Amino acid sequence: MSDARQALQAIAARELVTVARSRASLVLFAAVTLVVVGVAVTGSSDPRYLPTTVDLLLPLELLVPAVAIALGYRTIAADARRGELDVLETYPVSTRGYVAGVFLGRLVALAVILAVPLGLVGLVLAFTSTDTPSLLAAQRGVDSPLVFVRFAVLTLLYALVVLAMALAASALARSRRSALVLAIVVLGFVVVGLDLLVLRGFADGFVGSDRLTTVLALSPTSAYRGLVFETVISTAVDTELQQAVPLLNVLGLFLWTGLSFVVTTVVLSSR
Amino acid sequence: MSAVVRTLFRDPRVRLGVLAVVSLLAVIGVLAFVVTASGATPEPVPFEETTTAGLTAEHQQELREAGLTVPKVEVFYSQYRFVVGYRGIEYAVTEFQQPGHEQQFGYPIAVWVSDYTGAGVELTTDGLLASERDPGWVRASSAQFVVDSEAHTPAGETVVPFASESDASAFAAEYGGEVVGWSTLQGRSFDIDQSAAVRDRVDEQHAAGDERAAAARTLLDRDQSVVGNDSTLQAAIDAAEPGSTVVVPEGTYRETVTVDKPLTLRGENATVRGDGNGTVVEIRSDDVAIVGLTITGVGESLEPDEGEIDDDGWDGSIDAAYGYADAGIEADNASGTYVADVSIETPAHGILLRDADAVVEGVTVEGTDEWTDGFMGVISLREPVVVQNSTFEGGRDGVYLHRAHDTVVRNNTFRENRFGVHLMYTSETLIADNVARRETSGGVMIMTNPARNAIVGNDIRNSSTGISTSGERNYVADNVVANNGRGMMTGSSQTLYERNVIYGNDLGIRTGSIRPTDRIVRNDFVANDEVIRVGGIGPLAIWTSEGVGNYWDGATVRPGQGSYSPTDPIESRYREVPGTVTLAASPAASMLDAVRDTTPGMREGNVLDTAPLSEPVRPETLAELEAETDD
Repeated sequence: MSDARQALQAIAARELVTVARSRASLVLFAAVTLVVVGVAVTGSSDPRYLPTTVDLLLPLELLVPAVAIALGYRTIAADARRGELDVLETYPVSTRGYVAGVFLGRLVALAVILAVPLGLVGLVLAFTSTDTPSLLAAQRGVDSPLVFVRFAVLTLLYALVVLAMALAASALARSRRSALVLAIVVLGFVVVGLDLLVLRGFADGFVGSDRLTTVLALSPTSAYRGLVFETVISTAVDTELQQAVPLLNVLGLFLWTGLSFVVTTVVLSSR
Repeated sequence: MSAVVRTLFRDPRVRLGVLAVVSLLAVIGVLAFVVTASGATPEPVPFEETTTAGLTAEHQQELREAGLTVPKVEVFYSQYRFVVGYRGIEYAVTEFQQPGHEQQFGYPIAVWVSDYTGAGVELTTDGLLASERDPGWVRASSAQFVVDSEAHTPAGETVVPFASESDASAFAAEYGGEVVGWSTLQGRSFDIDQSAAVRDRVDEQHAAGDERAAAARTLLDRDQSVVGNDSTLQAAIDAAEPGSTVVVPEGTYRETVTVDKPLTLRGENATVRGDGNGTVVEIRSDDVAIVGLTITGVGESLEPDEGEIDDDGWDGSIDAAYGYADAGIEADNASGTYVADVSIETPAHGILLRDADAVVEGVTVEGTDEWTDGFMGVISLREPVVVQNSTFEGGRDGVYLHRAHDTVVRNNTFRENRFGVHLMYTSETLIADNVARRETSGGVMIMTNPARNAIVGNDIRNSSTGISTSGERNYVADNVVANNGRGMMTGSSQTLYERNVIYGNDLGIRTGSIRPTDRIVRNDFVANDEVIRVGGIGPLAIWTSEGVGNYWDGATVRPGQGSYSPTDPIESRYREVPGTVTLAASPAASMLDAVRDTTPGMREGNVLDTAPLSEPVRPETLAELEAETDD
């Protein structure tokens, strides 16, 4: 195994251990589980995958960035403050390797925090009978576990993007307080800021009708929402108009991830 | 613990395991987008297990009795959990074209139609379809449809599907019409009256009722017969010239009579008193008028005499049950019967019309105190009648109609019956401007899935149930149902409910539609203890059409209320429970509210109005009701 890979793994493992050891992340995990399962149970009284997805979409658009940022906003800033970055410089670890390691470790933690409650909801749906005692022939329509799996995958993808952005903010922060402020800025930017810009732009005509789906792909939240509409909810509705261009949205999400990596690496390299 | 994690990470087997799990999840994640979500096309199910629409129950019975067939459709919708079966392909096509249909049910993921290929199909002389063998099923997209041929159902033109193009062409060659594919068929319009057409027909039906009444009143203009003074009433009838008037002078005539020629009996303060056995006045001729008599002494028998009945046919049991009981006046197999200003006291029927079309006006029927002891005020079997400006008290049903299509029941008063007006297998009837009070079971009851009935401008109060609907494409409008146990029970489909006032009932509406296709708009729901209860297994129903909803007094409590669900546990209690508005305005509740009209077909039975009205539709009526309740 190469030194670089070994180092990356060691850093990733260190991040995982940090998250696993922290009581706060356990509380975070519990809170996310509560919200996701809570919305699923209260929202659609009928246990089906598609309506549950519809119910969860908006809550997750808000919750996922919050959780991703909570997990990421202090990571690099804390290493810098405690002087660990300086210590790491004496190891054979490149800045890129360090960033990738931190990202990977936190991503695994984030994936667990989101996937477990979603998996729980999926299990509940799978084992809740929708059969009604009646002589009528019932059918599932387009409802299937597949739509829920798609939704979960897209949610993890969205989480990945925001985590990368959170790390960039963390790298930019000079202190604990500025880390918090930057985190809130990123959260606002992701959850409402970009979409407000798009809204305004469309209303004022800066964004033409033929450009809207392209511009939406540039907002991570809208890209995520568009993907859910196009690949999950659209299975139940025969829509004439496309609500998103899936490929563009995926590209948009990767663009933000790549950009965040570049920012993080450049900031750390220039320390 | 960190040491443990580190050690674990160094173990190649653990690393391999982690890698395998991660790869597997990644593959599943990618596969989820590659596999199509809809899966395999569902196969047809036994038709009896579908939620059915199309032909009325009466027409189904007729076809079944004659051993005839009707082309069927089974539709599997993307959002609706039950398979919908249509009797008559034209009904499915027409329903696909209705506004809001796709929002409620999603799109069809599979459509199967009857396949008459090799079934030995031919037309009867009436153009109805007979087939030697039961047809199979074929996918609509690969079927060929014969349209504009001579093929009919009892309700009108019908489309005949075949899997094989040559069979379709052969059918068209023999019975006319042309062969088209599924996509062309879906663009066609069929002559099937929707509820809006029923609304537009109300004025016509009123005018037709006026004409029929005017025609009947010409029987009052007949010349007076000269009859002896000392004879019985029956003797006078026997002596009278056909087409004349027999004046019945003041007095009580203790006899039962039979009128077997076209005559007008005109009483002047006269009472005909039967002996408490059997029917008092029997009409056995066309164009008989009974005017200005009081009839008492009606027999108590609710059953046919031995050997009296003709109970052939699928509805023979109805005849047996109701068609041969004792009555004040009974007309059998007669046309142009006219009964006016007659007062009847009866332990059985008031006026029994068996295969007799009639005009009944200004009549008073007083039935039994307990409805279980008595029968109907006016009962018509199989012929249209006009019943107007009459009063029905006590007894079972004020007006009972069996297959009496095109009847007009208007401006009557019903008190303390079981039902005011009761429709069985009766379509295209107008029930207008009647008043009902203290009905044991209900004001207007429509049963057995008929079609195109109009219930307009009735006022029903203090009864068990106000109006109960069933069947397709009805029009229910401008009614007031107030202070009843249940204002309305809706079991209809494709029915338009508008401008009704549902006020002060214990329960406003009990809705039980498995297939919510009704349009319910511009109604006022005020001061009901419970507004809506959803029975049965139907999905979420949206009571908004083309951006217009209903007025809910509950919704007005919260300023800026967006969509409103009268069945929501929080929103339905805005007016009674402090704090409900605060709770409902929370981001948590708003978040869930924002999406509940998405995929309604997959959600549980609730009612949702996405555009509730901020002002009542009939404020004057509501003010009057409020004033009366305060008194």
